Amino acid sequence: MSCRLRTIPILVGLLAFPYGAGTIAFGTERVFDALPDDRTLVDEGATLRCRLRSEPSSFNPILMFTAIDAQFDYLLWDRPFVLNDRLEWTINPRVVESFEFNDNHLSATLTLETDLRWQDDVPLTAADIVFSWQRILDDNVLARKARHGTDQIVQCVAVNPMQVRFTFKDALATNRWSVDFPIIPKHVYEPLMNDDSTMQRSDGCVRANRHPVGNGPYRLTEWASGERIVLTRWDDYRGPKPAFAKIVYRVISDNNAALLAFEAGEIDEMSLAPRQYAEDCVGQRFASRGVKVRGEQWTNYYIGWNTRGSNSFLTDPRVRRALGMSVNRPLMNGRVFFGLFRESSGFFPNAFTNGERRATSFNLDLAAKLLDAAGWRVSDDDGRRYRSTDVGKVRAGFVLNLVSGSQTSPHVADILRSDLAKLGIEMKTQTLEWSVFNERNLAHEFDAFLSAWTCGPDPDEARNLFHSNAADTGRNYVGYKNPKVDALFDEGVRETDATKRAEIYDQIERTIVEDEPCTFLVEAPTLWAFGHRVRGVTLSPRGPLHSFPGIRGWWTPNSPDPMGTPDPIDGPMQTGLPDSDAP
Amino acid sequence: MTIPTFVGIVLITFLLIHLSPGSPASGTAGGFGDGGISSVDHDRLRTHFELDAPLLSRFGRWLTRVIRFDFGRSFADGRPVSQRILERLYPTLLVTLVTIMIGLCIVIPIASYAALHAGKHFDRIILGACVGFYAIPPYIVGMVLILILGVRFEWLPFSGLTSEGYSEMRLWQKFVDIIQHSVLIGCCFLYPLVAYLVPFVRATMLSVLNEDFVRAAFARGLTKRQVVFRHVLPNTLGPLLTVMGLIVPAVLGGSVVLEVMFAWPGMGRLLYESIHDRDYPVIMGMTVLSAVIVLGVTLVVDLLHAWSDPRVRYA
Repeated sequence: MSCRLRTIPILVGLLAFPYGAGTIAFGTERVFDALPDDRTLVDEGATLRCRLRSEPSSFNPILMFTAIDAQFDYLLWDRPFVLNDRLEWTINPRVVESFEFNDNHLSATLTLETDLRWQDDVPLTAADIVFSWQRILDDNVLARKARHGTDQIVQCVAVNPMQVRFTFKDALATNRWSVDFPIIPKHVYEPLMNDDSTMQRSDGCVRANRHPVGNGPYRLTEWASGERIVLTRWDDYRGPKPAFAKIVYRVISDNNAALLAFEAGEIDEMSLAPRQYAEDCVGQRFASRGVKVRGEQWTNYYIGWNTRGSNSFLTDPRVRRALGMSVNRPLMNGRVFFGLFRESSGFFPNAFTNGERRATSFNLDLAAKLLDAAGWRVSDDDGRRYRSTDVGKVRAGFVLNLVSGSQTSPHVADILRSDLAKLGIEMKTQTLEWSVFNERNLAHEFDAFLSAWTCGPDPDEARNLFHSNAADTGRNYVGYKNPKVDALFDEGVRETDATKRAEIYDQIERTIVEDEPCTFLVEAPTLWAFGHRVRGVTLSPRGPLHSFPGIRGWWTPNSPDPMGTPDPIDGPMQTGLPDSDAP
Repeated sequence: MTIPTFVGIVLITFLLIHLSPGSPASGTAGGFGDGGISSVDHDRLRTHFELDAPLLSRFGRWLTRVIRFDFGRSFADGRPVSQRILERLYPTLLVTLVTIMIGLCIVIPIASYAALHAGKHFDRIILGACVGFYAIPPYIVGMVLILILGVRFEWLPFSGLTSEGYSEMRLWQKFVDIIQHSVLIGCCFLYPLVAYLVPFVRATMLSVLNEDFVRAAFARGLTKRQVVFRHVLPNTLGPLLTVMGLIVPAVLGGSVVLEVMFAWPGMGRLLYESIHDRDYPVIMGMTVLSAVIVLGVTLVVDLLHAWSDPRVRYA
């Protein structure tokens, strides 16, 4: 850190310093320059400084479950399979010699490369893979994320030290995801698990979890609790060497503090909040430090409606469609998200369907007609909607649960409340702390909630949201049940032909949007800031960090800029992205 | 009364955090990917965190362990609670104790001078400045300091406790590095303390100055310096110690806002993170520590009272 302690002059007048003036920005294209083959252009002794929102819970990949934990995955570990920047399942040639499905997708054989080693120089073999699979499915081990999909493998056997044979419960298209589970060193954990079957409750296991023996291109060399984590390039790594010699993660939980640290040159990258992207990253100081970029992300904000009948107003699909038509997405995007988001057109990314627009458009007149048709009519007395039932008149209204701490949710709710009031519907909001919010959802004690959903790399992950099997014990908090959708999900997961699969998921999306158990609002983009010296960034639908090669592909030039410094550009900030529709 | 008070504090805290809505199982939801949690996972988490047992039996088990100085393991990362607290205690102690000591060194001379010149220009300016500074929230001052001294001029670091490569530094470099990192956050702790204590000490001194024994001391021909150091200051210490007894535990608890702003790895941030994650063992560990500090500081203040005031000693 360049910190110069000079004689402190009299501070009179400093408050009037013109901080943040100007709109000059530099071109951003350079940040996407791929790692050159000519490594003399690359500064291979450089340190990359990243920002961490909070500390990881564990470096044991089996126990990892947060986005923070996953950030280290591809750096410390070399997995047999990886997700590329389009989130496609890809074989890692550095680890896998061959992989093939047999018996019509009911089994698969994985052959490892011969020279694989852990960072303590012990060979990585098929026994490590089998041990990892056993631990993931061990009920004593809290493998929350890793268990998902891995439980489809009924047998995992080491045929020989370099070969593993997997047997699956069913011949599913998703079996390729099932074999993509994390691998831990058997020689490290097996002796420790004699005393602690949970891998979390003994000093030995905790030490192993915090000081991992990985097989990736970086090793953990320092963890100053609450401050920073330092990864150092593993010189004996036999694959392609990453460019940065060190990666220093600074723990800065507050977004504003992180932006100040970025502008002071203390960190080289950070994710940006919409307001920061639109309003704070426009000054000369920011432009002199770095660039901001925007990319597609498969995250949708949505309102989940409780269809279980706890609020009779929300059980009728016509009412939910009317509520969907009351969502003024353009206004929300413009006012709350600074025009940076996209209006949701469904819940699947275009890659999984035919890309047709599905979500209902803002139309209060049509919404009013639907409500009338559903029996919810406006009363002449107070202008509110009621429906007559056997027990008397029921008023149209619901409570929308919001998560506390969100800067945008209250504004989204305000826009919706205002439009619903025009229809005679009363919407109240209840702001709940994250833990309580989740608890209410799990107990199905809500009318509606505002949340976000990030689609995984396979469309079958939406099963967790909409399949009736997930209504009581899964994440289908809204209690949506439609036998047609269930059948389509079950058909889709078995279909291996990509075109036919896309048709099935297209049909699923169309049916669900018609039933509207959830109203999808806006699609959130990846918003990020990078220092001028950073190159080689790729943006995946999970942002720049959670795909392969991710940070492994980042680099910094040897000289300040071997390709010539771009001229300052007056005017609007450049996004440097294909969808450069930023303001 | 110390032991019943201690048990009362921890019992109430235990019941409050366990009976309030939300749980560690639902608090740690929101994993990577689709971000949800199923009720099956939720139940597994509850079992893992041993939240299935009845509340009082859990409290009994916890208290039994605490008596053996075993505070359990953090739900967040499985490490012993004592280890997690100790590593955060040091940065907090560093900044707060140094701040308190520097604060007292500033407060006593300024307040004494203002009391001895009550009603004069200096006194009025000091009182006005104290009211003004006390009214400005520390996070505003922190933000201004960061923008000017940290970002604009890059004179001082404003993030964290140490710099990269700290472990390879020589001893004096480590010392300078920590001092540099502590300056800005220390200023934010220091100025409200000074602004609060100066008027208090001044007012106490003024009342002591009006006492008969002070007038008698002057009448005996003692100089102003002799009267202040021998008679006024010792009599001011009593109320000041009482106030410090209240301030020290509060300051040691850390400031969440300042610690987040300066990315300071202190107690305030740990408590905030633990409450957010419903990390019950860490919350309870910090409650025990806080109770011990409050009771300990109260004891020390009582002893200092007795030392500084013979009336207390012989009562």
